[in-house]
Amino acid sequence: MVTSWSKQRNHLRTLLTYGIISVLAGSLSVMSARATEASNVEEVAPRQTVSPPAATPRIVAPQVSQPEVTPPKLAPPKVTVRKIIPRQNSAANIPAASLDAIFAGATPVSVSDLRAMQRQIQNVTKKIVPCTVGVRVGHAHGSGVIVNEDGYVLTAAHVAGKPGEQAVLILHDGRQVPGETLGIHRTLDAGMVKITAERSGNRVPWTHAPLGTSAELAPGQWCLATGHPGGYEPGREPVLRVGRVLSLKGDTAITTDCTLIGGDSGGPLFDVNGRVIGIHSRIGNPLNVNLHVPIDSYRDDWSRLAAGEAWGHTPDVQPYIGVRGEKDATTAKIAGVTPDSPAAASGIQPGDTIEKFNARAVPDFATLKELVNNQQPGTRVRLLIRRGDTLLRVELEIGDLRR
Amino acid sequence: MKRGFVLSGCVIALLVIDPTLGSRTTIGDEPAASFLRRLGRFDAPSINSRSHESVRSAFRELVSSATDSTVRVLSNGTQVALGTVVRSDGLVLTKASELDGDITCAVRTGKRWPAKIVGLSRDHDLALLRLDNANLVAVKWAADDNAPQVGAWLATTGGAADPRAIGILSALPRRSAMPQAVLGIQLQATGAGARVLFVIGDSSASRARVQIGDIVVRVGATEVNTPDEVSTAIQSHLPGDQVTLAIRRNGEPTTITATLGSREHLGNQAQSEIMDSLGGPLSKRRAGFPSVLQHDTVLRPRDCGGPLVDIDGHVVGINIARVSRVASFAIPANEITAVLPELLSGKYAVPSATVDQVTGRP
Repeated sequence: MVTSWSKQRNHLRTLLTYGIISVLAGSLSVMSARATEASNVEEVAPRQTVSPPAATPRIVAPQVSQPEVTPPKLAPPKVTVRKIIPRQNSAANIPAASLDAIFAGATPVSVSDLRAMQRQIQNVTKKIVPCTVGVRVGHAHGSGVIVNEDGYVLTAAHVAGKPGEQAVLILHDGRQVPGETLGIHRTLDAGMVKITAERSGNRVPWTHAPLGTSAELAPGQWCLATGHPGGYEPGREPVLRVGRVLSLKGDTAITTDCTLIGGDSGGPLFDVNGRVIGIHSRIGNPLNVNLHVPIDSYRDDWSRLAAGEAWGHTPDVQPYIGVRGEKDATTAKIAGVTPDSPAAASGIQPGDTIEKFNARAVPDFATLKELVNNQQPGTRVRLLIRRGDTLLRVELEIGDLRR
Repeated sequence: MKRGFVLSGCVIALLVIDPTLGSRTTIGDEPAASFLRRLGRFDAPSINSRSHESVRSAFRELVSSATDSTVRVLSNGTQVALGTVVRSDGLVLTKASELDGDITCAVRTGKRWPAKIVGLSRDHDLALLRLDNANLVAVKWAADDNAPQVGAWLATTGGAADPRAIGILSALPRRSAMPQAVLGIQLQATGAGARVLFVIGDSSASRARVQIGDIVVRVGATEVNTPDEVSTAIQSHLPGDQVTLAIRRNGEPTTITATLGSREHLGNQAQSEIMDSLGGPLSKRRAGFPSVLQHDTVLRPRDCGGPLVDIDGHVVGINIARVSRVASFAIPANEITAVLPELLSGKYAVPSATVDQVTGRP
């Protein structure tokens, strides 16, 4: 029997692929199952957003520090949020803010402000829609964005599925081109696909969107989202939504009120200059919980993604094998084995030292932890074990602690 | 108000999960729910949200004329829709399928009129109401060559000076196909009637526990003898409708009530229901329109039927449905100005304005 508690929980953090909707049960945020934006606006006095916890632990290993990327200059994220306009019409008393300041979070106060915003949004829309694609991998129907002239497409890990799969990319005008899935970073839900078709045979560059940077985003900043909600629909171009950044969770998620639904997964979030700042990943029940993977993560992981590597685990699982390390040991020496665990089933014993994990050297227990954490439960791995003077080969399947 | 809490990112930090070991650490003695409640709510309206009242009030000046042409439509005293005044002597367009019982219209001043349905276009789900002795302000339609482009601001007027909600045009006008209702069974013609050969998993039929070998005798009030007759009877409904099936099972008569699904999501009904449940209530009739403007305004079903206004203050359409978490539909102005003369001429007159004929359903 499903309790109402778990029913509600199951409605949260829905991944947005249309074909293979999965629900993340043990998800990562406090949310209320309360829904409509409209009623909130009506009932509750305005107050500051409660920011999500700032320190989000990386469950995967921190990336090796990256070379400095020179981020394109964004509209400065100044804290220029002005006072809420009183009910009576006092627009005349408020000094006009520049369009940059408005898009960075200052409140538009006049019809001419709105007109200037519309002009910019419409100009940018003409550029971003042609870069937005539908992505089909097996039964999964998601979205993506072409980010360079060679036809590299950013999408969500749960759309790409796994490396080396055939994909079909649907261009904004409905044309379909073949592609192949490259790497996935499951923990962040970042994925990459490449168009394998040569454009008209002559290497005409693919229409693509430039990458922005997510490091300097600030709450209140305006943004645009495109994608194929409900899956690609013939005769409908990629669908535009406009909203604002509501909160930032380090380098793992951007929350906006650009509403998303199944089929949008993998689609791009843009700044108002048309640069990609995030990739749609998942939603919670409230309309203001739409989460995007920050673009900086893609840039940091670019070479691994492009090389077709798959790593990390989805947030709804906790990979484990069931061994405990020896205190203060300088090697990956096993002090204890959890009964009924994958390690126990494979015959690993206390006193064994794990030397290799899928052909990679395991110098210490911390490395072993990290290697396990980068596997999706269900994956089979090969271990090389030293027991006394003997070397043993062991194969085991990564377990899931949450099951 | 329903609430559900799940683990927060902050709590994950407290949970020391060692992937190699498989042990869990608990969060002290405090029950998880109350611990998490203290961390705050995610859905509190933020001053940074797009539709915050500070942003909506910038639209006040440009919606003022359309607001004067907006009425609230009440059925048996409760607001079920908004209405758009199309002629000052008391003609109002509204969303037909929301109407039920005694209909009245109210303006901002609080004045109310009883309304009578004098025209109906089921295709558009629009009803034309007549308010006797009313003196209202008719809307100014946007010119045909002023149709909004993707990314255009769109404001939905309501009963106040500021717009009820705002959004942008998400996609250019297109046809919205009428979804086909399905039961999810395969039938075989036999001498005894239409016999169930196969029941599709996660379909309307499987949920209603239709069984292989059942003979379908009646769909609603319609007697059926062949598979074709069953399909026709089912397809006269819309997805979401409840139908009673009279069935003969092992020679014994029995009845089953099934909630019909849509062909698009056949075999995948649970998925489409989860998607539909995310982000607030949807209109009952939300597809099957000749032409729609898709915009990202967050509306409640009862906010449909009123004017949709562009940056010039012109009315570019009438909101016709809350469609999904990401979309609301409006019938474009040119479509309305084309059908309005026919509604006025009495071509679509409702012979007797009984409620059931006004559901807007085929």
